Amino acid sequence: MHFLNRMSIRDRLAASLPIVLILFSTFGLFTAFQSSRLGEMTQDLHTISKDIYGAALMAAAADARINEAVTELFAEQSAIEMNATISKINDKEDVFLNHMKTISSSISLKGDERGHKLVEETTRSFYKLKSIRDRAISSIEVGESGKAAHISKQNAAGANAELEMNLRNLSEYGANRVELLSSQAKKAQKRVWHVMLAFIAGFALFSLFLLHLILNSVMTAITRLQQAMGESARSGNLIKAELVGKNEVVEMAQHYNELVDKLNEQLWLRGGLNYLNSDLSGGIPFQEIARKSVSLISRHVNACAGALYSISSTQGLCALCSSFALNDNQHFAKEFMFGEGIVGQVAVERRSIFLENISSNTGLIKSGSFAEAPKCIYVVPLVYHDDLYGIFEFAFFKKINPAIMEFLDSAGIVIASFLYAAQQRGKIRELLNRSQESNEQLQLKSDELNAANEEMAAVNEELLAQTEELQAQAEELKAQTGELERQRSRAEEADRLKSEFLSNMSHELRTPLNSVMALSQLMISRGVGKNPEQEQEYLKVIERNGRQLLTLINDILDLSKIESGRMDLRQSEFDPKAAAENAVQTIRPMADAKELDLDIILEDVGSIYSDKDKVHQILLNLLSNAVKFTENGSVSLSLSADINSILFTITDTGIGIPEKNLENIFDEFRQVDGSLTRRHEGTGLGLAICKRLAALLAGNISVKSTVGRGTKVTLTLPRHYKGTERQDAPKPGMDRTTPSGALNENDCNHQNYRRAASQKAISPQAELPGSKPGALTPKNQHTILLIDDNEKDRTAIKELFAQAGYKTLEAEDGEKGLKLALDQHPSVILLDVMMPDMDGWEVLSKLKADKGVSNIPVIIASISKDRSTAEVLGAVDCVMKPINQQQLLKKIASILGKEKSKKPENIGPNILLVEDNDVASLQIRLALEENGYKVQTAVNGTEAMIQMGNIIPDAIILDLMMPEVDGFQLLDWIRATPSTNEVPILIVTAKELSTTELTRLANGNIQELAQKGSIDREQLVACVERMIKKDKIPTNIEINKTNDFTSTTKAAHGISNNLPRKKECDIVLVVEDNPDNRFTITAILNEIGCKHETAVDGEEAVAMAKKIKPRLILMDINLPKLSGLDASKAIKADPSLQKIPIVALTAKAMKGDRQEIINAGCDDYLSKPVDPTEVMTMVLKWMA
Amino acid sequence: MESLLDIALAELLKSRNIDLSGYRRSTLGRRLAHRLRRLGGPDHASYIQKLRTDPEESDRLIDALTVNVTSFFRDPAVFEFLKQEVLPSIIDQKNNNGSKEIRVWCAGCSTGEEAFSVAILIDQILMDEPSAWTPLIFATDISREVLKKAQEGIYTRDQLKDAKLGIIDKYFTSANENFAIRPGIRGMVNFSFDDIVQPNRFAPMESIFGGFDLVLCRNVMIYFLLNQQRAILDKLNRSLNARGFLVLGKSESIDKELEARFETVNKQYRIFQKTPY
Repeated sequence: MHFLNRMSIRDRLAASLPIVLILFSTFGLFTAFQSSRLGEMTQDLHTISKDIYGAALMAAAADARINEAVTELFAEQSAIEMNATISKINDKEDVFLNHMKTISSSISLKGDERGHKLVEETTRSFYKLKSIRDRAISSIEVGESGKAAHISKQNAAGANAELEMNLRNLSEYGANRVELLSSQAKKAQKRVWHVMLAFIAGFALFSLFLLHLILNSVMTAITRLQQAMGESARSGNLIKAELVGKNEVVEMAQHYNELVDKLNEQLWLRGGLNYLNSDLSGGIPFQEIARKSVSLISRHVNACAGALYSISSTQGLCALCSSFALNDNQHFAKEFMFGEGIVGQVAVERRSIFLENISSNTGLIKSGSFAEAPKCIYVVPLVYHDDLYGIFEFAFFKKINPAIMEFLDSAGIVIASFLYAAQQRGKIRELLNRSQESNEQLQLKSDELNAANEEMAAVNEELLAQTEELQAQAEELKAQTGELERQRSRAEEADRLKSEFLSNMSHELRTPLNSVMALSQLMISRGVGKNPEQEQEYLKVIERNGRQLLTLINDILDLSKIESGRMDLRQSEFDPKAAAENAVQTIRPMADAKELDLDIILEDVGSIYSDKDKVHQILLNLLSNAVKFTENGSVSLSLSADINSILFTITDTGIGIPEKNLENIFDEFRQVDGSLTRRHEGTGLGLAICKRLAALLAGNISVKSTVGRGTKVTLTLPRHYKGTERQDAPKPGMDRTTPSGALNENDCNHQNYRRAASQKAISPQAELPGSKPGALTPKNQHTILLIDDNEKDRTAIKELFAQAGYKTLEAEDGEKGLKLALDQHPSVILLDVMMPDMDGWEVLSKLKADKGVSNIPVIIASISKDRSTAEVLGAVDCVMKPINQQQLLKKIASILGKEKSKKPENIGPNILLVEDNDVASLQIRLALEENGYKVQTAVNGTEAMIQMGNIIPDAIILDLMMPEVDGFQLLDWIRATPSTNEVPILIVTAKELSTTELTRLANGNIQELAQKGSIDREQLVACVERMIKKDKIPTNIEINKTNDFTSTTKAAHGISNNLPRKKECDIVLVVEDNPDNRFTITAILNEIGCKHETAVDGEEAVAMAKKIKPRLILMDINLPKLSGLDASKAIKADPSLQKIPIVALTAKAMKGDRQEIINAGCDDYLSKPVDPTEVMTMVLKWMA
Repeated sequence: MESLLDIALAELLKSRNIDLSGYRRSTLGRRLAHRLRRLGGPDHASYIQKLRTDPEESDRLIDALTVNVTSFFRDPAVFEFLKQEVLPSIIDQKNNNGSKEIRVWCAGCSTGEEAFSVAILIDQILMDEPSAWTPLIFATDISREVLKKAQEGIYTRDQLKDAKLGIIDKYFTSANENFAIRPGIRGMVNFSFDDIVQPNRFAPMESIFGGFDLVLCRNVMIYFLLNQQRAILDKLNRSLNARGFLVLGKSESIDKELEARFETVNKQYRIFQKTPY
């Protein structure tokens, strides 16, 4: 078997195949040979049987033929026949002999002696016979037939028998010969069969053996290899396959083993590296890595010594850093410069160097028992990312294999990376330390900074505050400057007003004086008695102007008295109605003269405690003003009152006052027209005095006016004047209406009401309503809102309502009506259908759509029968226009009656909120309504009492600080009134309550107390809820109510200024608005026989100048429409008129006036009062 | 000066129940000196005499001691933020809970510019359905002098420098050289006296109760000492409704002690929201 292992499997297979082939071929040849022999034998068998036996038979046949021929021959006589028979006998003899030859040749092939003998005997027999026959034949031929016959008979018989016997023997022999051959063939066949069987068996056995041998040899090796590999794979340990020989499997096994070796090397290498990795990881410091790595690697590679040199690139130096089993001796350098020695060289090249076959007696590695020099040295650079971190040197006692070198190279990289990491860590740590240090420093700095910041922030805030302060100061300064500016302009204004006042006063004084002096001088110069009628006229003018002068002086005195506070007042209780009537009576002639209606609507308002004369004076003044400024229409005086005030309202349908002048109308010498252009006579002091007088009487005059439509002046006086306490006079313009001039009466009345009310509350004479309800009972129980665009209708109905005791609110269109309804919440609304913009139906649906007012009953006034429409839209009733007054009143009464009997519909508890502050009231109301309460509001104690008269609330929310009747008083009243003394009360107040007040509240049995601003909305609602849970006693309290009314009647009046004039040339144009002065001037002109024309204002003057081209113009300066100065300018600006001399007549005697007059283009001027002679001189001078 | 300041403060506390002790003394000192200069520099004794005898001087001194710097839409970005974010958020809140009352408190309103600015914003936002809403703006100040001016509602051009032109056209009428706020806006704001450090109340008296959706208290706290600032913040917090907004001045912040009770809505504009309980 062993030899087989030396053969390759291929060879084995190659060898076995020829063996099998040879064997197989041998066997084939053998078989073929045997077959061939068998065939021969068969051939022989066939040939012998055929040749010998056949030839014998054939020879016998030929012999027979010869015998026959011989017989014939004997019989035959003829020579020819004898010859033919003799030739025939010869042929046969040849055939016989041929057969004998064939047999002989057949026998000779087999070499059978017996056959040959037989053939020879036969042949001899034949020849013996033949010789007999030939003698017989020759005897015959010679004719000796008898001899022949004798010869034949004597010899032939014996020879013939012998031949025949030989021939039989020969054929017998032939037959025997076939049988023998046949048996021989059988034998041979049998033998061949046996041989073949044996051969097949042997071949098969041999083949099996060979196969087994080869398979066995191959499989054993493969199995071993397989086992080794399987074991390796299974166990993980690389096991080598132990195979010997030289074949493919062994080779394979060898390769495998090599692989295992390599893998083992790699594993060893990896293992070593891993070991290094694991042992050196974990942030070990540089030195520790150096120490450990040398030791670990040395152990791993079985080095006898190891060293690690660290690198100092800056110095180009490798210094021994750590070592393994190194003897410290002088042969071992601890430092190498770069390029110095192997270590230095490696440092420079950064490539490993391997040295072997060292033989040295120095640098021995010693142990306790021996010292030996190392065999080889391996020096490795530690390179990581192209940077050198150190040099390894290892010494070995035996030669090292490449794996170790590879390991050392790899280890070099690993260690380099570790050293790098360690170095980095070191750097990081250093940096960290440094950064920590700097952090600490920073922290310190930061703390300092924070502190500084804090300070800065404080300073900053301070600065900000200062900035704001500065800004504030700047603003203050600005405000101060503004204030100063205002003061300055006020002072200037005052100064201007003062000089204007002086100028005006001088003008006003000079104007009447002018007539007095001029006419009286005229009379003096002329002498009296010449023209008594004219003189009478002159004297009347003088007297009238004198009186006017007196009035003026009185007025001025009055004014100055009031101003200086020296006006005496004589208070008394009197009936304002009488005062009003008195004033109206005084004025009536004036009104009658202008054909103006002078109406008086007087209501019994009780008495007033005031200065009757002053009231009279004011009314007179106001009335005369109204008449004066009304050209047509009416002037009316109505008297009304509320709780504490009496209101005198004078309404006219005159020219009205533009809004911008409203604030000036109470100034001295002011007329609406302006300072210089004046149309209306009067001292101009009347309103100023009125205003001051009213203020003196603690009252007020307010004016509402619409230009062209009229003026309404209301004098409000307290019912009870209380000595010297002065009301704050409302600022001018405070009562001004909205820019459109629409009247806003409520606003004003409310204010007055409030003021008066508060006055009453603090007045010692004021009586508490609780104790005497009648005294303070309001008169405006029911308010009816009248929405109608037709003023006449409104006025008529208003009067009707006033008579019936209702208060009327008016609106001229739907929009205002809606607003009033929302604001005032009237008891009933009377609504006209036919209105521009928004018709009654629309107003009605809007009213019904608004929850706040939807419950107000609405009566529709329509000219058509719209009852059904009205009812569908929610009107309560309908009246036909023109209105049947009594029917309307009835309807209203019935509606109001129903309303009164109606119980509140809301299911929620009914809260009465008494709060004068609208916003506070609104908030509380909203908060409560949101929570399902029905809230009624009252703005003061009195109103609250009235409301409680109608409905007893389930709870009351009460503000303490209110005008008129404050919360404490109301509380007392509520508790004193049987019907309300059980109603729970919540006090909501901003007041810091004193102990006394708290006691008083406690005595008033209040349920809850809430401080404004320190309660939640929810808490407030909760308070109300808490107190409402207590039982209430619903009883009604009756409070006497009387009705008040306010009504205004409007009338129209006007002034006509049309004057006749004649046209003439060469005349003097007298421009003078004052009729007396005009009269005076014309009288003077008449005196000198001068023709004259007059104009009453600047405009007319310009027109007249153009028209009549007068020779001279005497121009008064104070003129309505266009002042004398402006008129002069206009005239001088006209080229056709500029040559007409203008002489100004002026009462303005102030400094600078003259210059102004000259500047305006006047040629000369005369000062009033004028001297008639001066006038005459002047006229003559300019007429010349 | 220090003793004079103490006496003056004590006098104000006595006569007006106004406690200015929480104010920064440096500010007060300067302001008092300023007031004295305004009066022509009277000696301390005579000034104290004047303060005790002249009730008007108390008001004037309060006015002088407090800083009143304001203008319409001062720091316009803050107002833009109010308009874009805060007020719509409030309106959303209201729409959700069905209330139609918008409650605003301007604490330290000075002459009313800020309150009117907010009123204008609200008017602009509610323009579509003004009648459905009840905006209530309460503006309070410690100085009755400035309140008087606020109530007049007349401003110089300078105070309107941050207002957009359209706003001036729409919400002001010219009054001589000045501008008067239109009555509609004027009526939205309720001016009243209130001492923010008054411990008895957390909301102004006029407002009856707190529940404010928006409180502006800008550049008020800078004049106060820290403790007082905390007390004010506490009050403001209580006066807000559950998700009410607070606007502080640009250099004011929520003190750490109260940080939990406010959420920062916008740090830059100092807009905070009350943390819901």
